[in-house]
Amino acid sequence: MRSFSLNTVLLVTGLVSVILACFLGSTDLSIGEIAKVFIGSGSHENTLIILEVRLPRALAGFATGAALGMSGAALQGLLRNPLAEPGILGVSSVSVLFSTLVLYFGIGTTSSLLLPISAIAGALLATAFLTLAAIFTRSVVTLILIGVGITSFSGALMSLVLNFAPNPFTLADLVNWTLGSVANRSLTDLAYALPFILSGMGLLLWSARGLSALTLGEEAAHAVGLNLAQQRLFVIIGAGLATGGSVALAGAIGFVGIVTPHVLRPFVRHDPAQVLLPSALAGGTLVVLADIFIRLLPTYSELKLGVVAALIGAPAFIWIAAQRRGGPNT
Amino acid sequence: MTLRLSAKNLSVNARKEPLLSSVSLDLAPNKLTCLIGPNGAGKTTLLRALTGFRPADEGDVFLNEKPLSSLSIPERARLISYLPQSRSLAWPLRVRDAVALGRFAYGGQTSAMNPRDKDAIDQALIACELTQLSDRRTDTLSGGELSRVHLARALCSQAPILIADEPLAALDPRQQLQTLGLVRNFVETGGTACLVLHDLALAARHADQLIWMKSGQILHHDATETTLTPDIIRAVFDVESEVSDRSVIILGPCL
Repeated sequence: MRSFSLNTVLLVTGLVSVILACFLGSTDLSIGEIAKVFIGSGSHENTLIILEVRLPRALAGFATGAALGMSGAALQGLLRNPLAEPGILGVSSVSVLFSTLVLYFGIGTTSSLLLPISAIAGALLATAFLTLAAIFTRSVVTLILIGVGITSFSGALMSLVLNFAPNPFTLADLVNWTLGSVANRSLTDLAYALPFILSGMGLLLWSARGLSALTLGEEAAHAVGLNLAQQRLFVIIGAGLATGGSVALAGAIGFVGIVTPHVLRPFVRHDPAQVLLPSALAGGTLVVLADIFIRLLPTYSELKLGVVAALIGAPAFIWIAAQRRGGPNT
Repeated sequence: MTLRLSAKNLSVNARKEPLLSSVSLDLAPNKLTCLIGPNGAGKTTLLRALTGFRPADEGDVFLNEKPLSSLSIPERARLISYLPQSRSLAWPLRVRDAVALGRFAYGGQTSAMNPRDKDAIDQALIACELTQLSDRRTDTLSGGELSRVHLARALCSQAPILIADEPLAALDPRQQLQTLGLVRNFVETGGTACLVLHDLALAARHADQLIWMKSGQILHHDATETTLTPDIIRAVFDVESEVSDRSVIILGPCL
């Protein structure tokens, strides 16, 4: 009941933030004009502005944040560690690397089907590798360390790619991509990425119950009736699909998956299963609001979303980590 | 329901080193069996093989006559409840929510339990004297209270077999006796219990059956009265001792 009303509040906040985002842009539109567009009687120009520019950007932000928020919460439940996020298992970094390669070799542009496919292929490659590792090891720590290794390795490959960028233009393009942004997204981009994000999130919600059992530790979770291997597989594939889809939409945006579940846990009695949906809703809202904030800032060139997320998220990450000193499972 | 848990010729190897070699045992209903032996004797490995967490490389575990491996994971969980050594909880759940995880194998959501689940949880909370604490966060509990939470979690599954790995570790004498009393209650209502205990004197006083383990093997497995002798204690623990009736005094290491 409690988490039901929490979800309602978060859903409404999310909707409001998406609508707010529709007001923002170089053309001033009144509430009436925007409302007309949504009921289908707006002017052609206004409809174009809302449906082709502002709404896709807001929805892309929401989808990205929702995917990252839920993936983070699910990985934290699986690894029983509040510092886990899609990044820690190397899923984001391999996904970014793959999409960068597509841009680098000029096979695709930021608005073609090839980009989401490669981002998701990267995420799934990382998750498949981790799944294999998860089958052969019982230890969560080992799994985290493998993830750290994957992150470092794909980071090195990324540097290599940037190092050999043929011209300044390509370099700028690649750097832009790795910084993370939801500017200039189309409904087509959304349509390519959403099925992956939604199926990933569906898989995570479906296997959420096992995360509660994992609170007791793996041995006791097995004892109360949890299929550990299957639980790991579902969370890894679910988080892989959702994260891959989010990278395809927005590039690398960090820390949403850490901060959101951390803030929400007290509201769901710290139940790792019940924190999933609120984390998705709040993560989506957070990214939309951050994107609005970026557009309001009077900077010469627009700040990148990933940069702002890291500027806020990294100190929060350190704070959460420092708080854990001396606690259980450190 | 009463259930007999038995094992035939269990062997577990890790990197070709034998952790258990051809261990057979039989745990009967209405009996409290204590598993004792020095560190590294293979006690935890044996419990993990019995519960299927680390299935044995050779040999089989049986529930009455049924092989454990023929049961699904939830079926097994409804018949055997297990308390591992590790007691830390990853998240500061409320006491009631943590205990409710014992009903996981029955399929309910922690947030929406059916009346049977609720009944089982209430009974376990009452038995373990946790009713007053049911809304407390588990990270604010003392070690004794936390260990009662875990015991309540195991009891509320209403499984006929209870297996626990050092359930008395780090408890004060009063808490130890309280925990043993709860286990005794469980056994007297038809339960089958097997505890690993490190305190030889406590095991000697409270167990109906003793299983003496050393180097991955069971040396003796019989009623407490028959196996509690200075000779056996020397063979297993390498210490000299005095035994009178059910009390044991350790005199010192063997020379």
